Amino acid sequence: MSPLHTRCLLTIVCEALLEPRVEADLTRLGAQGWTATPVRGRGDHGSREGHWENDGNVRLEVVCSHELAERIATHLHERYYSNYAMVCWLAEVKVLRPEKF
Amino acid sequence: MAIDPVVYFFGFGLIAGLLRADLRLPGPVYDALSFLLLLSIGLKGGVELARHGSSELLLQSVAVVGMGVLLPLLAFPVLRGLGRLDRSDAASIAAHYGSVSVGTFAVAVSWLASRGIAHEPYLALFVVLLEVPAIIVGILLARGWQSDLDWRDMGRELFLGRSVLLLGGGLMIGALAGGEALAPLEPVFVDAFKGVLALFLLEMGLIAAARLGPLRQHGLFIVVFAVLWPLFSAGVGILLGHLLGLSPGGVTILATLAASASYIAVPAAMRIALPNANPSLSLAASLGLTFPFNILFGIPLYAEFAQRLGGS
Repeated sequence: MSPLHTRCLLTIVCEALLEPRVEADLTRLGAQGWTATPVRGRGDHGSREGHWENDGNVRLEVVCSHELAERIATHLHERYYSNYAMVCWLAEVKVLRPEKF
Repeated sequence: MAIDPVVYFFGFGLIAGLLRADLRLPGPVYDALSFLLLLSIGLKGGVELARHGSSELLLQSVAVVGMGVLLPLLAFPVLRGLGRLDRSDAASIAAHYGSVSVGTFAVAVSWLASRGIAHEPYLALFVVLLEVPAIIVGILLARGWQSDLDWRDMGRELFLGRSVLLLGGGLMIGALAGGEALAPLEPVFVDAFKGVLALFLLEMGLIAAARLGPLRQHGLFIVVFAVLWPLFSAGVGILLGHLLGLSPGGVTILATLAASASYIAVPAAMRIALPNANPSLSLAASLGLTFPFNILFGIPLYAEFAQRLGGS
């Protein structure tokens, strides 16, 4: 098996209507790609069931360097945390092709 | 007078939601229903628009846009003064109540049709015209002219949002193609309309029930506002409709549009433009109270007034 390389998985869960804006931020900050999934759940902003347009959440997952993940997380914190339903977390992951991330 | 069956679907959804039943339409089904509803209304209006286009209609359109600007300007000081709401919340709620609810419009059209009351068939145009002005007024009320808001981004949000785009696109397709050419599409866009509306209202009942909970945190003012303000704005709509020479059915529709509050386009726009406004407050009022009030009690009431004023 090829050697595994360490990268950072940044997971963002936020109001679905922020998706295009957060994705634009990810591109601008240098993320090479991400995966978006519609999700539902409960948090400080109450229950978000996700079955109509003003009630959905989205989960964005980005695998990148630890340094970039921290930069993105700091930006999200400053830009969105005070007014929007958003959480994000970082985790260490192993990848096969480090050049993709 | 008998209640329109589609309203029972709303009531059913509302009760099921209040009982916390595990009932919901899958998101993609809701999306498909709302697509169909918006396109159907747009297409029908567009066909009639091509038939009735006139300078009189242009004048009516300008007056209706004027109403869309006026209503939030009137609501804002009430929300600030009597409701003691902060600037963002007052502006956001004013925008919700100045704009319109397509679902309420659809129920009014269905209600009139079931009673054989005629109305000007091109009024879907007014729905499109009334969606956006109140949002712009709301943003200006909260942030003023000198704001750092990215208006290009906001313009995309306003004019390329689902409801404006699908209603506007439907209107254009309807006007360009004409009724005869669209006849083969009728099984989907005309015959299925009431069934689609019934399912949409079932889902809205479930969603409205979820919005009623947060109302308790917001105090009595917003409850009173959500019921009394539509009566006032319906009065403005009735007067304007009468001045514009609309039929009693048309006056009823315009009053319903004036009384209705947006719960789809405006909340999304306000979330971006006024992020510090509380979305659960405005949605609880517009969707939890005003929407059910209008479809259960408002529409028959506005029709009654419209008919009395029309002298029929």
